[in-house]
Amino acid sequence: MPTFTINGQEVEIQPGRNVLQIAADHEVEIPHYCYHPGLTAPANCRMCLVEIEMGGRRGMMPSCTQMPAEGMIVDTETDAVKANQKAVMEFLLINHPLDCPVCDQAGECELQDYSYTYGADHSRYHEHKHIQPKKDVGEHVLLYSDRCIRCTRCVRFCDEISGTSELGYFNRGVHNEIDIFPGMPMDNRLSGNTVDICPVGALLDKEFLFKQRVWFLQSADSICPGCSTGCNIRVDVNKERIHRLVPRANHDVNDYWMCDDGRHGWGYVHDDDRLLFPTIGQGDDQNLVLWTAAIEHVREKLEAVKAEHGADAIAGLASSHLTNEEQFLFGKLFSDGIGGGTIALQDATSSEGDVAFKSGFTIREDKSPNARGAQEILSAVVGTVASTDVVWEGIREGRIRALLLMGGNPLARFSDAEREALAQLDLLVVNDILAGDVSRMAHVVLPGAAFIEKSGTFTNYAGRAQRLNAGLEPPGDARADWEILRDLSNAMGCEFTMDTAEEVMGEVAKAVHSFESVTHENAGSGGMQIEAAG
Amino acid sequence: MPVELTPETRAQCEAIISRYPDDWKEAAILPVLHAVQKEWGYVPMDGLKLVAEMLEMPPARAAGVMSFYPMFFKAPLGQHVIQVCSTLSCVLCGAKDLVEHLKEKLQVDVEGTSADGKWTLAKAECIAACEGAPAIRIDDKLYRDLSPDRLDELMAELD
Ligand code: SF4
Ligand code: SF4
Ligand code: FES
Repeated sequence: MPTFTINGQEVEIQPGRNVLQIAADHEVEIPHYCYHPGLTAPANCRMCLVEIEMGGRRGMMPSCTQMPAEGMIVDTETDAVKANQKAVMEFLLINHPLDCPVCDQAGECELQDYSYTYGADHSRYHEHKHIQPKKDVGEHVLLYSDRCIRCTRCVRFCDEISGTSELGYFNRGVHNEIDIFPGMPMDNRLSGNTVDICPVGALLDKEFLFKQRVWFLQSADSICPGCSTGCNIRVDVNKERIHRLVPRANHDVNDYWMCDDGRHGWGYVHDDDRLLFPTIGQGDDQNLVLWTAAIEHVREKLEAVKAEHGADAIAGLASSHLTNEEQFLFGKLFSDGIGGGTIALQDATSSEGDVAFKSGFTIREDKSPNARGAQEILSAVVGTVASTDVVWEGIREGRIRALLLMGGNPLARFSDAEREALAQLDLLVVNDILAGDVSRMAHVVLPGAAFIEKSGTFTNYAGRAQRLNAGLEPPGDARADWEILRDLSNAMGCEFTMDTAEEVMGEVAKAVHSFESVTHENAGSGGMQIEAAG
Repeated sequence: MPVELTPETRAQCEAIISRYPDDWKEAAILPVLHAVQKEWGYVPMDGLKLVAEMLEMPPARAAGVMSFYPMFFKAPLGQHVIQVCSTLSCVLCGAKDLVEHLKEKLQVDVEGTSADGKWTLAKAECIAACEGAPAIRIDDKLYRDLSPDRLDELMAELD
């Protein structure tokens, strides 16, 4: 491998990687603004200049576009480099309002951070600042252009990733500003990413604006449950509430991005209609009970139906909003606990089809995070996963008398015909997160957990098992669904002893061939490709 | 608002565009903007959308390019536009007097248009005529070594 040196250290040239990236690989931080690894590099901010010597010549070059060559000498700490960094910082701050105390970005701002590390502690500028306006540039996004450093990341994002090109680069000199064409706001379902990649507090998320100081936030790595793409996300929480979702980089899945539907789709987690306590009884007669009573009640009723009509009179509608671990336990509840019955998987496909963007980023028509995992695990555990029609028909024809209805899908809607069928059942057990007409029809309600309230794995459309981690406790008495299903299975005669979702995965790996090598540890933070089903 | 182009201007734009690669039509933006401004006198936002369409480029990018150049106007101007150079040599040689004179004479501020709609007063950065400072531009023409009197004569000729 050809090599070059960074600050005297000999390093290997990696094909396709620029000096800035290779330096970062070797823990040499080169400050930069306009460069973003997911976008083209215009080298316009000049913050990343380093001294480069090659063929007897020495000069300052932007490390974000400079590709290394054999024998090149790169120095990132010389006086000239530091003087440039200081000068760039001074220029960038000339017209900046320095309003960190009221800026959402404070605490995670590259202007702030680099000022500490590379800038000066005072300004020599005594003239009037040129103040640019605050603008509404889209459904989710505000632009405080007085804070903008014109790095053009946001413009390039709209040109290269969403392919919608709503943002432009207007005027020149000190009047240079980012703007939309009059009357044509940012109208793409990836717009929130511009807020993430804006290195300063210029682009702001309307939903997050003034809600939290970022240093109060705690984070959990998770997976967006909004569709089968399975974007890797970080959930920022404080005081028992989600405050925002942001993407985590994963080149095998979502690169650096997530869509606005997913980003802002978590409201239901804190909805007033969250189911908080297990209940027995229908409609106005629903009584709060302890978990033990609820589970025991379900057991009694299931045993009664089984005794009178046989195990085949019991059916389950699985939900692809539940984790792989939960699919496994749901399957086991039927195969080992009930000893039969029919399982079908509810469909969460929307009518909009896949929505693909210029970069290839795709919002998928399957609005559930785990259809593939559910299908694979349930068929491995119970043999066949029936079509939902079979279940609805069975209920209508009176062959199916008891139904375990798994929820977790905030968008789930049942047709009138389906609701009529549900009303015919001797026993309807609903395990869900939100109260609705169906939970009101239930004989027993078991309140489950939303994605951020439990650990486990989802398998995305491409067969990648990815981990979600709990960042919040479920509200009220609600519990992680895998705990509910474990207890229910045990009530029906199973002997499961696992105390964590990770231990459940241990059982999945033993039982489902394609999950053989999957553990939470192996799945790490970026997930792992599971073997093709076969 | 004039969002239609005469067949002649349209043909002219198409001729300009045909000189550029098919998949890079936006490279023709400057000559096309000149051509449409010649017809409309300025380039309204709806007109700019039309230009962006012809050039198969995003309107925001077209607007960005247009806003970079002070010779393209977003709003209607007077019949004649006087641009007084406000860069160093001209200022030293009396550009300020010219501006004051014009303000008085036309009863307008800089960027304003006279009540009769004939004259717009504007400033320009260096128009590359330092040797003839103070210099001005009226419409497409450069005039050197001006004084308030000479300016009055010029304007009378054009009126
Ligand atoms: S708004 Fe942010 S991302 Fe866009 S150019 Fe300004 S600083 Fe860069
Ligand atoms: S594309 Fe799908 S998984 Fe990704 S953020 Fe959007 S809804 Fe969530
Ligand atoms: S990051 Fe290299 S010039 Fe901006």
